[in-house]
Amino acid sequence: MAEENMNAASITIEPERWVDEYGDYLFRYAQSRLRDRDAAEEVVQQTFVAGFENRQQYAGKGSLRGWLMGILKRKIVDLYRQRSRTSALIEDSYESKYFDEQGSWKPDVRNSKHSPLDTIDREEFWEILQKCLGLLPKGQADAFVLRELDEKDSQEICKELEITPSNLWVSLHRARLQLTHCMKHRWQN
Amino acid sequence: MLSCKEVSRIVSKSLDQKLSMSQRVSMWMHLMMCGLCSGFRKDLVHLQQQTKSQPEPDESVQSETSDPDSQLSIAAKDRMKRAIEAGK
Repeated sequence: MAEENMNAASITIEPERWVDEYGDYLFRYAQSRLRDRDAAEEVVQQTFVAGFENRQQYAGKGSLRGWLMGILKRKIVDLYRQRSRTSALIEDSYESKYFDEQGSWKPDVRNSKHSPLDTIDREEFWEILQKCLGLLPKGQADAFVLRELDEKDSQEICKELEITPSNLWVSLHRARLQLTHCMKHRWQN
Repeated sequence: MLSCKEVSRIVSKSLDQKLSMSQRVSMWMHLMMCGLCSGFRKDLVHLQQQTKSQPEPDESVQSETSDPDSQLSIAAKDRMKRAIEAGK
């Protein structure tokens, strides 16, 4: 009841209060998805502005924070789509870093059949993953986040990013190759 | 006989969709004989599982953290308030 009253008050009287109440929460989510402080601030601002403009649509069902979060998620996907347009797939020789001309693993890339990744503990894992995602080209990192963090299926991601299934698979494969490599490296050093 | 490069693509694909019977067979034939590719597959499966099990940020985390990197700056908050104000 208290929560409802607060929602009603903050939506009718002072939407500026949204910024103090929900700003950091939305920002943290945006940052975890975008790995770019400026871009995260930008989408949070867009969320507040859009939320305010469409405040009549908030029917008081569920929390205001959850409603704003829904707007934020759509803004993030919009940004992913823009990024995927501007970073069209460059046919680089990304695989040649890992495989020789015969298509075998290069020495030192995978020198063990064991999986050192499973020895990283959970908290450390998240931190290292974020760092390594930050080193990937944005389009690849975005595809990976949508697929593995948001657990969307391939069809949905292709629709949202307006890319073809084969583009998506190439992006995911590149992301995974580089992430496993980067994460091992980071962890071992 | 598929190369490791080809198998690595199929392994990655297997995380996103159901493979055809022939792809599945060639992948496993290769994995049985190739320790490096099996290791790669383990890494990918582990990467996927661990990533999925990451919790969403929640309120309890928020109230405890004072890390400036995970908060909006005062300037950013002011800017947002003005942006909302401008829409009134």
